[in-house]
Amino acid sequence: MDENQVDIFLMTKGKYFRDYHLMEIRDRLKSMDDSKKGLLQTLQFKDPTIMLIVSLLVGYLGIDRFMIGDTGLGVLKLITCGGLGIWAIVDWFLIMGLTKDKNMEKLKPFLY
Amino acid sequence: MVSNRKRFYAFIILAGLAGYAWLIISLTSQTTQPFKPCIFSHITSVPCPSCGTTTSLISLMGGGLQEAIHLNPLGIPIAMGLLILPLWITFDLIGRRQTLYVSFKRAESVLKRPAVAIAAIALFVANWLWVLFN
Repeated sequence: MDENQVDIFLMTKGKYFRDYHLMEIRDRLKSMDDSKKGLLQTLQFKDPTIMLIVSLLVGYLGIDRFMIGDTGLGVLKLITCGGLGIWAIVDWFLIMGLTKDKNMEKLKPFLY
Repeated sequence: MVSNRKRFYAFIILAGLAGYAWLIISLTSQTTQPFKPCIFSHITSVPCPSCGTTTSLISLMGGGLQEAIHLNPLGIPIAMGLLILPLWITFDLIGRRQTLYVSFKRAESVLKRPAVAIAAIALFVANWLWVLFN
């Protein structure tokens, strides 16, 4: 991909990833084959801010964990009433980072 | 992958310890109005799907299976989890295996199948209705 396209990708999708992953993404995208570009555009990422709102509102029911794909932990959170409320509160602080990690996991097969 | 596995085991051990600690606190508590940690029921005044699990567990410990089911049927799988998980974790840690982690991941992928997910949600909603109307 040429540099402009990489910059546009990082400008529009940069908020979905951790800061320290951005340089790695930039380097890998630059060396990426153009044939993968179309597939990359179709990728849907989870918005960390939306996940934070979900976590604040219905996090104690495990909905945030279900949404990022942690089904097993979501079930655990649901049946323990948000880990007696403590896990739900801890997740308010972790969920944005976890969402960014999940987005990176989704992107990785296209980068390597 | 290795760190994910280690984090999983650390989390399950911590969750199990917290579960036992909560059970001991609830058993030794002398108050007639025990503290409810459920944010959902505090906000909405409606019991959440897992409300009554602690009392259900305590009933189960006293041999009251019917009362435990009446309070919240979820108490039974949680009691089984609290009994089996420490043994399973010990078995894995001593034998340097990862059977719990592998089984957890397998169960997770089964739960993600639409048919299984719909059945699980229906079961859970039925459990919630049971808690609400009992």
